[in-house]
Amino acid sequence: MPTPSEFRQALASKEFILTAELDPPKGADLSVVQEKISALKGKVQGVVVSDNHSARMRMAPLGLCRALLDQGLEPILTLTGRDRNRLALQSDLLAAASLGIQNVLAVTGDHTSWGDHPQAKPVYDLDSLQLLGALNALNLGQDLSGNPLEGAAPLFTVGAVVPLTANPLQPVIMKFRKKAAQGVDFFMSHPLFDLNNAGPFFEQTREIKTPLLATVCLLKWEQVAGYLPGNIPGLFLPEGMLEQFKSWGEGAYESKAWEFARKLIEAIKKDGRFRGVHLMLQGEEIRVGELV
Amino acid sequence: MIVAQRKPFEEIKKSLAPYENIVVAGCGTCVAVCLAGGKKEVGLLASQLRMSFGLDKKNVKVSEVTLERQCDREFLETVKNEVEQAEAVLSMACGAGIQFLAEAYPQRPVYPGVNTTFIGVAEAAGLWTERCRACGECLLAETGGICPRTICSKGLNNGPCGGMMEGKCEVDPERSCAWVLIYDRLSQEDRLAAMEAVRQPTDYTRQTQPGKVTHAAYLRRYHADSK
Repeated sequence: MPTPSEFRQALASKEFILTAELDPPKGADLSVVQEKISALKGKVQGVVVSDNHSARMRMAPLGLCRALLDQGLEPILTLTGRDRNRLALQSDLLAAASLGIQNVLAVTGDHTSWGDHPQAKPVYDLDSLQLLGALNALNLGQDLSGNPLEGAAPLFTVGAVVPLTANPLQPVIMKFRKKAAQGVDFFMSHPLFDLNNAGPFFEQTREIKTPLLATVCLLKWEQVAGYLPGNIPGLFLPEGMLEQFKSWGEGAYESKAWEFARKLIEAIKKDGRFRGVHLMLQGEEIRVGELV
Repeated sequence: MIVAQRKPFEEIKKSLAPYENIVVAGCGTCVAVCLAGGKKEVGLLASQLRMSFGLDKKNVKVSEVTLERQCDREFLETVKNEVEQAEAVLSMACGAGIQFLAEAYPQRPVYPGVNTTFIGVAEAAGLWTERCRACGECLLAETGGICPRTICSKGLNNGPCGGMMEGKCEVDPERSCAWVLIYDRLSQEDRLAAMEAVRQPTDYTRQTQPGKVTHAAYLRRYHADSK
């Protein structure tokens, strides 16, 4: 049986966890992201490598995950059901395991219409819950059709996402419970800006003790200035927050936004309901040291 | 019903360029209801073609005929004369009708006059919306009569995706999220337990192309050894 991943061990420890997101390059040359990799090394316990983020075609996360391992970073492979059917998803997972990649974040994936290949067929053969089912089946040494796997079974640390400030919240909570019951080792929230908004979610899900990481997202000025509910999938800016961000003005925005993120991370640490923070720096990973 | 949209005029005209004697064949069922390929639309298109060819100083004979249904052999036989007297046929039926007409008259080139879009309903005068993907394993009993495989842009089986915003769909903020609609409906009917169960991956053997359905009576008639 494989050794549990370092990230699984971190989840089992008492330390506050930090992860960061990293997009693979739009190209075959990993040197493009080397500076970012170096900046993240030693700063975070896991690097979540995106899978054709926002439906924009990039290098498959498998390649960057392996490069991270080679450089002593702990990769968390994002896997979306949007681009591959159940055969491809499972075989990619087996390839990942054989390369030592053991942490997987299973997501539905933004619709192809958002991306740079809007004419592509959106697959969604497995939704995120069914993807969790596939991961757990593989961990038990069998595939989704019940066929046994040859050799030692993989040991994936399985992650899922929850939009805990969504409106309406009830259908989201129902799906969250279904995911937790399916077998999840850690959850990651959608970007959070105000901890008060997480209250109703926590009040209704007290029975679920799965570690949950709060996502802190550094929005760019253009995203704030042009924000409309629904124009960036999964991003919900509460009204007061949007006004506050806009009031800083373009000139002061960047420094204020980083200061805001620092304070938010501290607040999440003190809050006690989250197991850690996941950083979405949107290309600014090189500056991770300013936050942690 | 099957909903279709008429193809752009220029595309239709271009496809008919090699011919001097064509027949425009309408279908009196679904495409007539959705105002794409019924008798009235056949008349309008035929007139437009005549005028356009006339302006091009091209002598093209354009005849018209509309069948009850193009997806049924017995109706296809009724237009034998019209089809055989023409060089080519422009079918205004759905994709199934166009193919069946082409199959019935192998000596005549058949061109499509519409793009077939979906199985849907007439939501209002002039507005048709999709309701069914013909997946072969109807799950409406468990989803409050709302099909997530059709109404959800991602066809998800187990609840809303993270793109749902204020009850609306990630793909089209004008449209309600299918899973929010399903939740509300089941909640109203006190049947939320139906949504709590984890739905297993869709069985795509039910959607193997091309689909085939045989009635017991057919089997009895043509395959005496069938049970």
